[in-house]
Amino acid sequence: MPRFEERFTVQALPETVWGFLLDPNRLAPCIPGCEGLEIVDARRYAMRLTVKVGFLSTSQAIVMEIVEEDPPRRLVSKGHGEDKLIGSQVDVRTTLELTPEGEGTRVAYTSDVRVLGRLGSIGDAVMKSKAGQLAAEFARNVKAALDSGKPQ
Amino acid sequence: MAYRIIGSAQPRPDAWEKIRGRPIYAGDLAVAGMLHGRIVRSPYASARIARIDTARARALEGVVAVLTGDDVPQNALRMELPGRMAEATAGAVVATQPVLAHDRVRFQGEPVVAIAAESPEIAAEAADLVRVDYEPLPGVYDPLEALAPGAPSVHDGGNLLRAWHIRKGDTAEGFRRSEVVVERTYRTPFVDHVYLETETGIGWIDAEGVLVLRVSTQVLEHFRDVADILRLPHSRVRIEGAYLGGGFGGKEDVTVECLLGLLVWKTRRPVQLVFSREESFIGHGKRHPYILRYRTGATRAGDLVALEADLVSDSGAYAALSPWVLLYSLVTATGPYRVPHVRVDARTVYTNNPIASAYRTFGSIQTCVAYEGQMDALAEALGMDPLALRERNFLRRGDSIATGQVLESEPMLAETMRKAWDALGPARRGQGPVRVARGLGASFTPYGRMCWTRDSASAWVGMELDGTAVVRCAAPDVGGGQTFSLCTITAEVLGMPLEQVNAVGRDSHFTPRAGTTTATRQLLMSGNAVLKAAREVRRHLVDQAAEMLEAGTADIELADGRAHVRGAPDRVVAFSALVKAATAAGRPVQALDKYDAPSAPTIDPQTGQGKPFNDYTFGTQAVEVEVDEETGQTRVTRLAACYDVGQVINRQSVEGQIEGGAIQGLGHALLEEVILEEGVSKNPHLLDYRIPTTLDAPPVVTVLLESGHGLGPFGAKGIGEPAMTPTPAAVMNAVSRAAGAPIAQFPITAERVLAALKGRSTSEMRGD
Repeated sequence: MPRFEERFTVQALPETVWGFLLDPNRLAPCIPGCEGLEIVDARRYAMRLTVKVGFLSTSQAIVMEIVEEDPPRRLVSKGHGEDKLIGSQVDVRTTLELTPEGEGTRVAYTSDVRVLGRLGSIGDAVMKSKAGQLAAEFARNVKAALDSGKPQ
Repeated sequence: MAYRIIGSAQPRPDAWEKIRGRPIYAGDLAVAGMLHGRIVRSPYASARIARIDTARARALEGVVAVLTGDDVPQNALRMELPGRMAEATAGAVVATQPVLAHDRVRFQGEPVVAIAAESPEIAAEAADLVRVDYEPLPGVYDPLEALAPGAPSVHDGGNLLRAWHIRKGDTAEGFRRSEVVVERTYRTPFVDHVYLETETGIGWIDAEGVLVLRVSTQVLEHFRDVADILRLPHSRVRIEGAYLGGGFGGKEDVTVECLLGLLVWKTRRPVQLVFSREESFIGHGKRHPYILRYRTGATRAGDLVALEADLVSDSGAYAALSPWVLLYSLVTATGPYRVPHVRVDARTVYTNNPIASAYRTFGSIQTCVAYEGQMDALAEALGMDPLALRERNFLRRGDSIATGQVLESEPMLAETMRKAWDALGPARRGQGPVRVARGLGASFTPYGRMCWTRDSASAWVGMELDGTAVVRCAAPDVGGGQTFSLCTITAEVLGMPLEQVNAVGRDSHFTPRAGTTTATRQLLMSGNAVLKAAREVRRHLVDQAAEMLEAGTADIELADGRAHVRGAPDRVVAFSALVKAATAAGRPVQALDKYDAPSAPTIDPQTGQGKPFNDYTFGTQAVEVEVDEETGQTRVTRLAACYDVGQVINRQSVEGQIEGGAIQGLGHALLEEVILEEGVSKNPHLLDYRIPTTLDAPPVVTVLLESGHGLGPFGAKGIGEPAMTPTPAAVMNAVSRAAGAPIAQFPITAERVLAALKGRSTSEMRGD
C-alpha cells in the first residue's frame, strides 16, 4: 500500500505538539479538504474529506480512531472512509513520532493509505501524486499552526 | 489423398453474422418476468468478514433476494474436471472455493453477497445498501514470499499448492560436460483474457422442475457443479451453451453458473446475470505470472547437453486449474529441443492475488519465453547463427522429450522455422533512430488432454427426409469454428454440399456429451466422434443405394448429395429419395458414436517420466520489429507463422486461429499486464489495460504444412492454442537484438526497452 512520509521541525516542545495533535478542533483545519468534524468519543472522531483528483471528486465520510498513544512520543491512528457515490473506500493508518530537538520538536509522519474500489483503480499514478501532495500540505499546515506561536 | 471439401477455404456461415453484430449472445436473451442479478464483491484482497448486514438491502422495494454464504446449500465448489484428474493429484490439494465467501475473503473481487431484483438499477442500489464489515488481514502477494517460512497462509496447510518434477539423465554430469552455460531469469505477469463478451447467463426453472442455465461457457459439464452446490441431482440441472463472444480459457472454469443457479433456485424466478467489465477483470481467472529461472549448457559445437529450470507460478487465492497449467509448463519446459540431461522443478503457489487459471496455451507460453530466450542467449555466447543452433537441436522423429516420451512422427521443426523466417521477406534497414531487427520462437504445445484422463467425446449424425444432414454434438464453439469443422467433416464423408449439413445443440441434456472446448481438444475429440458417426451413416446410405441401383456397395459413390454407380452417372439417386427409401425399409439413417483418446498411466510424480500427452503441435513464428532508440517504442511490422497442422480441415479457420493467436500473443508481448498493489487491481478497465487493436496488427503470413500425422480426423492436429505459444518469445528475441541487450520481463514496455538500450539488462546473464 502506498506510504507517505514527512519530516519537519516545529518551534514548540513535544508536550505542546502532543496537545495540538490530540485536539481535533485544532488539528482538523490542518487536514486539506476536511469539513464537518464531529467528535464521537475520546478516541474517535468523524469528518468528511473532500478531495478533487483530476476530473473526479470524492467526498469520503471518514471515522478516525486513536489506536496507540505514548505521550508525548508516539501516536498511531487508523481511519476508514467511504464514498458510496463513486463506490470507493479508503483505509488510512498514520503514525506520528515526536522527538525533542533543541527548543523544538522533530515530527516524523508516516501514513499508509489504501484506496479501494473505483477510485483506487482509476489513474493510480495521479491518485498517488495527489495523496503525496495532501500529505505534504498537511505537514506544512501543522508546522505553520505550531510555529505561529498561537498554541497554548 | 484428395478431398472434396476438407482442406479448402470455406467462409464460415457465422462470420457475416458476427461482423454485422447480429448473433444472439447470452446477454441478448430476455425471459418475461426475469430478475436481474448483482454480486457484492470484496474490495480487500485479504480480510476477515466480521459482519454482513443485508437488512437495508432486503427492505428496498423491488429486491427479491439478498443471499449470503449461509444460503448456499453446499458452499464449496470443487476444482475437479470430469475425467479422473484426481489420480495425478498425489498430495493434498486444497481445491475448494466458496460460492459466496463465508468468514473471510482471499482476493479482491471475491463474491460475498448475491442479489436479485426487479431491475438492474434496483439491484445496484441494493448492493450499495449491503453493509459488510471487513477486518483486513495480512496477505501475501508474491509467490516467492508466500513460500518463505512465516508467510501468512492463504489456506490451511501452507501456500505450496502443487509441485511437479522432471529428472532425466544426470544434470550435474551434463553441466560438467558443457563448455558454454547461460543462465537467465524470465518473468511474465498476470494477463486477462479480455473477451469482448463478459461472463453472462440467464436461467429459469422449466415446467418439469429442471434448472436451466443458458450461459456463455466453454464447458457445458458445469451443470454438475451447479447441482452439487445446490444439492440437487445432476439430472435436475441443464446447461445450454449460448453463442460465445470469446473464451480463450477464461470461460473454462465456472463463471456465472453457480451464482446464477443459486439466484434462480432461491427466487424460483428467471434471472439474468451479466458481469461488468470491471467485474470481469477482478472476478475471473487470469493467466499465471511465472518466474522462470533457466540454466542451459551446450558444447562449443552447439549441442545442448543439460538444462535446469526452476518454475514458480502464482496461483492466486484459489487452486482453479493451476496444478494442470503447471503440468503443461513442466512437460514443455525444454521446448522442441533434444536435451539429454534435464532437471525441472515446478511449483504453483497460493497468494492473495487474483485467481489464475486456464488461458490459451495453458502454461506453454511462459516456458516458450524461457526456452527460446535461452536459445538466443546460447547462440550469442557461442557466436552462432540462432537458426543454425536451433536446427542442430530440434527434436526429430524417434527422439524423446524430457518426460522420456518418444516422438512417433516427424515434428518438421526445421522446415517450419525456415519457412517462417523466409516469409518475413527481404531484410530491411532501420532509419534515423529506428532500429529494425528480427527474432523467432519455435514452439511445442500439446493438443488434447493428459493421457490418463481417458478423454472421450460422443456425437450423433443423422439424415433428414429431404436429404440434408444434422450433427448433434455438445461441443461449444468458442469462435474458432469448431462447429463448422464438424459440419465440414460430415459433408466430406457423406458426399454432400456443405450448406446441407447443420450442427445443432450445445446442450448438456439434449446433445451427446463432447466434453469441454478447451485444451485444443475439440477437433481431435469431437472431430473423430463425428467422423466415426458419419462413416456409419455413410455405410447405411451406401447399402440402401446399392439395393436401389442394383450395384455392389464397392461401386457406389456419394457426391453432391446423390448416390451413383461408379462409371455410370445416369444410375443415380438423390439423397432425399435415398433417405425416404431407407426409412421405409427400416434401415437406420443416423448413428451415435464415441471416440476414446488413447490412454496411458499417469507420469511418475518424482521424475515426470512417462507419456503425458498423446501428441503435440510444432511450429515457428518469426517477427520483424522496429524499435525507436529515443522513445523505446516498439512496433511489430511483420509476423510470419508456419505450423505442421497435420491436415487442414478448413483453411480459413486454421488461418484465422493462427492470426488471432498471434495478435493475442502480441498483446502479451508488448502491452498487457494486470497491475496489482497488494492484490488490488489498479487497471480493471480498458482505459489502462490495453489490448492490441487492428492498428497494432502487422501483416501476418501463414504457411501451413500438412504431414497427415495428427491424431485428429484425416490426420489433423490441433492449432487453437499452439497458434499463440511462440509469439511473445519471438518478439522478445527480436527486441533484445534491436536493443543490444537481453529483455526478459513482460510486457516489453517502452521503459523496459529504454533500460535495455542503456545497457541495463533486465535479467542476469552469464556466458562462459
